[in-house]
Amino acid sequence: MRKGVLEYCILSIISKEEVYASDILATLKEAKLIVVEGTLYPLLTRLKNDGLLNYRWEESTSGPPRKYYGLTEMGQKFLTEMDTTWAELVAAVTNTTTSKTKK
Amino acid sequence: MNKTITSNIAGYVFHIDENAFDKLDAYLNTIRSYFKDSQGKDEIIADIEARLAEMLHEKIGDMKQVVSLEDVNQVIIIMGQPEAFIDDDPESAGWTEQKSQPRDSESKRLFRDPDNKVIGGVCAGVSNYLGLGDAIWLRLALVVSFFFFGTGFLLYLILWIIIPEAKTTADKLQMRGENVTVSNIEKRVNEELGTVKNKWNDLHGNSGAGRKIGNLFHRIITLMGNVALLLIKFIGKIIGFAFVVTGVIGLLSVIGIPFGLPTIISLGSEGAMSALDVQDIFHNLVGGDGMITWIMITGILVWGIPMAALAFFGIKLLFNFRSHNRGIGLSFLGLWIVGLFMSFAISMIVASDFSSEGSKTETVELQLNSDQNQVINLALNHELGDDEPMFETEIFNLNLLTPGNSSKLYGKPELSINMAKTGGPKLLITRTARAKKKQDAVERSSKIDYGFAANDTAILLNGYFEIPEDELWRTQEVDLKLLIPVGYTIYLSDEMMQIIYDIDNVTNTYDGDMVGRRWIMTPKGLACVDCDGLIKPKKSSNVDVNVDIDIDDMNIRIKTKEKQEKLEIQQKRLEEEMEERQRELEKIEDELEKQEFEETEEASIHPKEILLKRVINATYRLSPTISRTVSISYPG
Repeated sequence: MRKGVLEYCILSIISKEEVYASDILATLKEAKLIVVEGTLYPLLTRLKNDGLLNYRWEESTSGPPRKYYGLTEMGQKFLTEMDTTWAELVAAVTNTTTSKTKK
Repeated sequence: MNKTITSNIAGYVFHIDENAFDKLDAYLNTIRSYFKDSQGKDEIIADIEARLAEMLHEKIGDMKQVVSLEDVNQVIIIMGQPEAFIDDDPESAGWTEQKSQPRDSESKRLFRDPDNKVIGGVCAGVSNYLGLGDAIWLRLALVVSFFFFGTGFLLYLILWIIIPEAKTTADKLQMRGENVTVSNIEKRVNEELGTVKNKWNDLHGNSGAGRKIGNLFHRIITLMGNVALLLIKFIGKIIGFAFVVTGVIGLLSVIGIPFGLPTIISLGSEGAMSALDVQDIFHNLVGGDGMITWIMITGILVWGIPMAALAFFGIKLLFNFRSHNRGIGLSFLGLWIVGLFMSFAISMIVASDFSSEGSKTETVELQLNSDQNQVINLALNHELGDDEPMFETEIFNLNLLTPGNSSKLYGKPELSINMAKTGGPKLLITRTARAKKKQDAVERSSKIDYGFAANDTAILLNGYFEIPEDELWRTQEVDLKLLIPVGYTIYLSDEMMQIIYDIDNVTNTYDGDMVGRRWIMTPKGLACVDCDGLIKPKKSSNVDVNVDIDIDDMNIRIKTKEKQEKLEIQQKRLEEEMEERQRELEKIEDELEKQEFEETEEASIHPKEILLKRVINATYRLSPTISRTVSISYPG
């Protein structure tokens, strides 16, 4: 479940702008969604292999070239779907939890 | 002070402390092995490496120049251990499909069980594997088998060495034959916590009669297939078991010999050869304790390794045990080849000590009764005195006797009887041995201990010669040659059979028929006195013929009438012989007369006296034959 959420978050971060790994990590760490950075890389690779995102190399001023990730068309569609599912889920969860407290 | 390494990590150049580098390298290797089955592992690792480099680069900044161990540690903490990457992943399917596969392991694997161990966890592990439940039965069986020449002990040791211990949880799951997946771990917990009833329902819940019948056909087919599969497996196990047993026994016997254990070999051959004997044989053959050690090592390598391999292969068959360690196999093969070379080298060394033969002949003048009518008795002395054998093994035509706890080598001498052309009766004792150099061989031969006893009417030969305890076996031989002048009569006692070897005689009588009889040395060779010579008598002839020998009168009375005819023939032969002698005598007389003629011309010695003397001498030489022939009488 958590990994699914993590994937959703990663995709949505990437959807806003083209980012590179450190940016994603910074955001996720801030949100306390991941504890160790290593978690990110297998996920990125998997998402890329599933055709949801791609990357391009960009020269860096401070070191070797960096990978900048962006969503593919499929990734974009998938994300839209996910947004709906997530909204539904949140609604459902909220519904359930609040109805419970009302009872 | 620390050594630094210049390293290129994902495009950044770092000066990095050696210990820090090692740590980083080890960390990356862990990650690499962790993701080895995942798709896109190279990419993951490259990304991680890049991120690590980035972080390290940030840490160093402009001030520091060298990456320290602490830097690396901090970076690793941030990156996290690979287990943590996926650890929180119970619903791994997620929204995208999980690609990493759990290790496939349909069958159980054999591990030693460290959780239920008494010594090494071997019994517990094997019980798990075979599904025996409690390991106590296996332990009991093993303890019992300890008493069968320690078979169980060795088997246990081998298993202990080759079966790996179940260290990780995954190993332990595999040990119990369960797939190593997260869901499986969960299932296991659930099974333990949940009700047994559920399980039972799963198995027997849908027990509607119709469904059962419908399934029956399918079930039978499945059952038959299973039975066939089981049978094949079972045969495999039996072969495996046979391999294990053979291997262990072979190994025991080769390891047992150096330690003098009673081995299967010694029990198998009716107790004829004990491990100690084998050791002694090697010792006497090779010599030198150092050499023995080498032989033992070689033996273990050449014989033990195939046996161990057989046992190992058997275990693999028996337990579906998989070993991927090719290195061990290859190194054992290498050791085995080394062993082969060693055995070749040892054989060469030993063989070189057999290369030269040397011998020494000792001549002993026998002071036999000058009365030529006297029969000389030849007998064998079997007694070895204090060294009376406790245990006898015959190898290399040699007797290995084990009196008490020491062992000595004894051999049998060979006796031949020939005519003494000159001088009186003699015994020639030729001792032969081999060594690297001829002179050493001669020296070695002189150490052979052989003796005999003789008085004026009998010769008592030792039945054995002895190789001293500190001497090696180098084909030592003792050849005895009894030289007797014409006219002497010998008697070969029955036990002489053991040492006489192809003794020449005028009647060409076989050795076995020569014993128990008297033989006279004639100018043509040995002639039998009291056997018919034509028909080879059976051994029982001694009973048929009752020979009464009155030596003083030289009267031989043969009481069995049936034998008389044959004896008459014999007598005739002897008479013919006598006539021949007399003709010879006449010839000599003729010669002497000629000489006399010459002598009378040259000197004035009494020629008649010289003639007489010579005639007497000649007659005397022949007299035993003549006198004996004449004195045979038949009272019947």
